[in-house]
Amino acid sequence: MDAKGLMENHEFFLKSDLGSLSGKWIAIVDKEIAASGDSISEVVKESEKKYPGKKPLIARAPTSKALIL
Amino acid sequence: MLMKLSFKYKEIPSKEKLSSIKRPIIPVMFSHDDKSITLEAIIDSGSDFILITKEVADILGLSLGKEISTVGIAGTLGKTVQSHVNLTITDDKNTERFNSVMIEVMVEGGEELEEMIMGRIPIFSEFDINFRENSNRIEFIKTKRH
Repeated sequence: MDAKGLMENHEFFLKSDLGSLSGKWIAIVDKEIAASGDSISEVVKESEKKYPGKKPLIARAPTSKALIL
Repeated sequence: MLMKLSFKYKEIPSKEKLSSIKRPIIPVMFSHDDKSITLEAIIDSGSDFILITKEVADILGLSLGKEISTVGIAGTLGKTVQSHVNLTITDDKNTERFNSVMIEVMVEGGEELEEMIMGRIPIFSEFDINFRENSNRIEFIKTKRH
C-alpha cells in the first residue's frame, strides 16, 4: 500500500459510519471494507484472499464506550 | 522548514451526553523481517511505550522478551512483555521510519482494545506533537536535534 492509498483508506475509516460493525475488526482496501470479523488474523486472511497482493488497513469499528487510558 | 506529519481526528459517535468524541487515531505500519501490518493506533501521551496485542505480535512473528510490570489508570493493566518492531508513519506528504523500537506486547487481557496504543517512546522525543482538537488536526513536527 503506497502512501496515497494508505491515506485514502485512513480517510475512509475517518468518514465512515461503522455503527453496524461496532466492535468488529475491519480490513479496508481501496476505500472499501474488504472484510470484517472478530479477530485481526481473520480479517487479514479474508482480505488477502479477496484482494491478493493488496495490503489492507486494519481498524476496529469504534464502540460508543468512553475510553479512559 | 521542519518536517511535519498531519492527520485529522476520528470522530466517534457517543451514546452518552456528548454528541461525539474526537480521538487522535493515525495509521501506523508495524513490520518485522518480511512481515508487515498497518493498523489504526491511538496517540496516548499518558503511556510510556507503544502497546500492541499478542495477535499482532504473532502475525509479525515477533520474539517475546521478559515480562514487564505495568500499571494502567484503573490499576493492573494485564500481563505485557517486551519486544522490538519497526514502525512507519506516513501522511500524504511525508514518511518517518523507526527501526527496532522497543514495544510492549499485551499477552493477557486487552481483548477490548479498539486501537494499538502509541505511547511516548520513541515518538514524542522525535516529534513535537500538537493536539489541535479544535482545528481537527494532530500535527507531528520533527524536532531540530534529529
